[in-house]
Amino acid sequence: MKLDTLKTSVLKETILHGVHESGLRVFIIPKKGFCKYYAIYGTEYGSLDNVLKVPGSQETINLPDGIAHFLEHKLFEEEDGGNAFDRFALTGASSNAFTSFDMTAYLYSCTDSFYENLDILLDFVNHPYFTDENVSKEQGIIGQEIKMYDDDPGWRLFFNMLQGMFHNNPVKTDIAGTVESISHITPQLLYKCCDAYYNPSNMFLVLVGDIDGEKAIECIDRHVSAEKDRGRIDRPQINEPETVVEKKVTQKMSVSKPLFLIGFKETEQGVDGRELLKKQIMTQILVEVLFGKSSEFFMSLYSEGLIDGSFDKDSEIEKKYGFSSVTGESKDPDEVYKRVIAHIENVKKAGLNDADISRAKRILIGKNLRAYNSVENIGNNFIRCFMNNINPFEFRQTAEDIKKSELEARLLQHFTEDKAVLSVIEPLEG
Amino acid sequence: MNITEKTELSKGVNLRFLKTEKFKTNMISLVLRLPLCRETVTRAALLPRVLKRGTQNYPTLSDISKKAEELYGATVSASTVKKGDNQLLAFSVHFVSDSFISETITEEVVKLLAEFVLHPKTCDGGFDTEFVEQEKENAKNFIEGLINDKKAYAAAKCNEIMFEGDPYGIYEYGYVEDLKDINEKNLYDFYKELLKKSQIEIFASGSFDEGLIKATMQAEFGTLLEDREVPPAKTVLAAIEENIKVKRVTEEMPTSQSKLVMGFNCGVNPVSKDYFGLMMFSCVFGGSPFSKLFNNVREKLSLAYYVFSALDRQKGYMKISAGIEASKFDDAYNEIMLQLDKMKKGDFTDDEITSAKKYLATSFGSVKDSMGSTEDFYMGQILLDNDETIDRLCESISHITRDEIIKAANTVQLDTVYFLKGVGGNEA
Repeated sequence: MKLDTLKTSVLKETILHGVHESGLRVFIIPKKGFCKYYAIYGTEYGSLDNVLKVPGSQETINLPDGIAHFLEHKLFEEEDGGNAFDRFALTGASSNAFTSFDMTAYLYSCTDSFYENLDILLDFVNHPYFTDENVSKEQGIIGQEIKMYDDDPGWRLFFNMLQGMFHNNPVKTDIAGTVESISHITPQLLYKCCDAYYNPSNMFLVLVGDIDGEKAIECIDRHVSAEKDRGRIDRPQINEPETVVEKKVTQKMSVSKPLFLIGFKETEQGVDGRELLKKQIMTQILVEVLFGKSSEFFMSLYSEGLIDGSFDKDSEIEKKYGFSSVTGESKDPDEVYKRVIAHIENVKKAGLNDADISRAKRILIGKNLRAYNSVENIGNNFIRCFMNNINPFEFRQTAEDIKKSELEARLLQHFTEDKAVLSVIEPLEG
Repeated sequence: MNITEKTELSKGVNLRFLKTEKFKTNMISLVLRLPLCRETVTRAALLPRVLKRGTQNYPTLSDISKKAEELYGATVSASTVKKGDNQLLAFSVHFVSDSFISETITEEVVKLLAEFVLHPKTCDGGFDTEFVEQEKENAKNFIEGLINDKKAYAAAKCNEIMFEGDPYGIYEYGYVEDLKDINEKNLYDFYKELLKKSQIEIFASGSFDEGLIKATMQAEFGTLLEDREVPPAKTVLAAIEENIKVKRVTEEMPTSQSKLVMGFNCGVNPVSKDYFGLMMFSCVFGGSPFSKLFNNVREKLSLAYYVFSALDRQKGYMKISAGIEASKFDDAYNEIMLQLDKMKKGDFTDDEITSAKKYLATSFGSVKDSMGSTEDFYMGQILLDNDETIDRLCESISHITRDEIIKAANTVQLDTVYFLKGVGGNEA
């Protein structure tokens, strides 16, 4: 396979990229001076994929909630009874995996034996081994993981917001599923998901460090074969209305003070590439201008004791789902909600201010530079960009080019009260 | 990253450079060392909150934030951390290197840090009254909010029980009942005392013109750089007790998952070879994804999603933490003790030893690849009065033998078992 080069002189960084004959997309980010190497191998498959259209057949299967995450756990298990952690251990790599809404990724970092570790990574992910016994054992472990999240107020707050926000989009479903839903997972289902979603055309490999591209490609040739290629996965369209389900969702838990999360639903789906990047940055700028530490909003509510240092803001605009949010602890979440809405309306009337926009852009440019400080950050951020067909080097220029009028239009479109949901965790009584 | 010899800016105030070209940002930190004690812990923990509220030249939150944002989102942080029997008050600024932007901001950033540390907003010889009163309320909420994170809560409770009567048992964020005696005057007086008398360690990490940094520091921090007499920092190790009676406490709470935390005395000198043996022991036993605890408590018996052991080098103790089913306490406890017993008898393979050495080497690689972690490592070394570099430490670990691991396993002594027992889940 041939590798092409992308360069940025401002950041002094390079990306080598190419498509392997199997369909696997490969990216190498050469970094010198770091002790560690990093590799992340991801499939565009996450909790959003709850209906499998089996490649090459008419068969459609409704998948149990939590299966992508379950599969992530199970791939570490090996036929001889051992697991991939132990293999990585012998070569000194620190390995892990995660499942998100739209991605499952396997990763390791190491200080030496990079190619040996790459062999292990590509080998174990491409060698599923599922039995009734090992599936049932995993149900116990993941059951504990689910219970741990059940006790996590921040996690509950987040999923309660998503449930208030989305009617049909599976983003509202807990990534790990429930103890009940994972009880329906069988080895046969896991093999079917593997065959479809872990096919090379649906996968990405990102390598960061002082890497020899030729040697990396040899590893890929050894483990990833064109025979496994099933082409692009056909996915059912998510039909999601623009409205929200519930304006307010409340749960009681053992917390000391109410927690709130106010979210604004993104109603446009399916955008990727430059258009998505621009939309992501515009939303981030707006969130910064509206709710940042230097905003009037933050200072007034903080001084009044309505919010405290736990206050934070975020936006997550992806291909298949999106929202912006503010969160924190407050004695009066309803009042915070009213103030958020009123503040947005005021800004819409008064218009945005150039100095605020310029500072927000500087914050984002600074954050973007900081993300290059770690090989893990580079790998994790870049794989997400590549799945979304985004060139990460375009971040800065895109941010600098965004105009005030574009931001004002985005403000009117995205931050509206009818798309807002308030999620609250209240303390138990007594 | 190489650490330079310390430069004594004045007696008791040291500057060290951690030089590297690999990052796109730089970091400057200033750390004041205080002994951890009940009389001052709450005041010290309150200070960063008040100092972040406003300065003489930037009197509101919005003013400070605007200044930092203009400097490409430089983050100025202030916090207290517990390290052994010490409480560290740390100020830090993290900012983009001049070479990646079309302007130079380093001097401005040093000035901003100095503004935070030396020129807080004051009024009639005290801090701003409103700031102090509001931050007392925020501190109260924060301390009470510990319960929101059950894992952290259980760890803090175990710590409190294990180290009752010892400075290390003090809750590092302070006590609600101590807040009422704090006012804008006595807090400011306390801070002025600290600035005058504490030993101060300054770190500059990244790529700098050393001369320029020194000169700017001297110009901006002039009044802070007076000589001071400081006693050496001391931490009393968690020593092995004769005829120990294990402390066992169970507390019930309405949660889905229960949390088991076990504290062990190790009593090992943190700068001796024995400590490296202890690190290797903990790694094989419970400090890695190939450990005995992970493979047996989790993988074999499905009793937990997380289960691990961790060492505290400064204090010389080990903690085991696991999230389990309330009804599986005995199973989990017995399995943990069984695995410990195997370690004591040397029932582990050479592969496990090799894996642990490599795992620790990779962990130290992570430390070297992070400015924050490198600073934290060297701050720890300073408190231990030890000048080993990360590489030398790694080298020492690579020579640890099986016998030394067995010896370490046989030194640890169970002191405390804390169980946060979940009764009923959360209401929907």
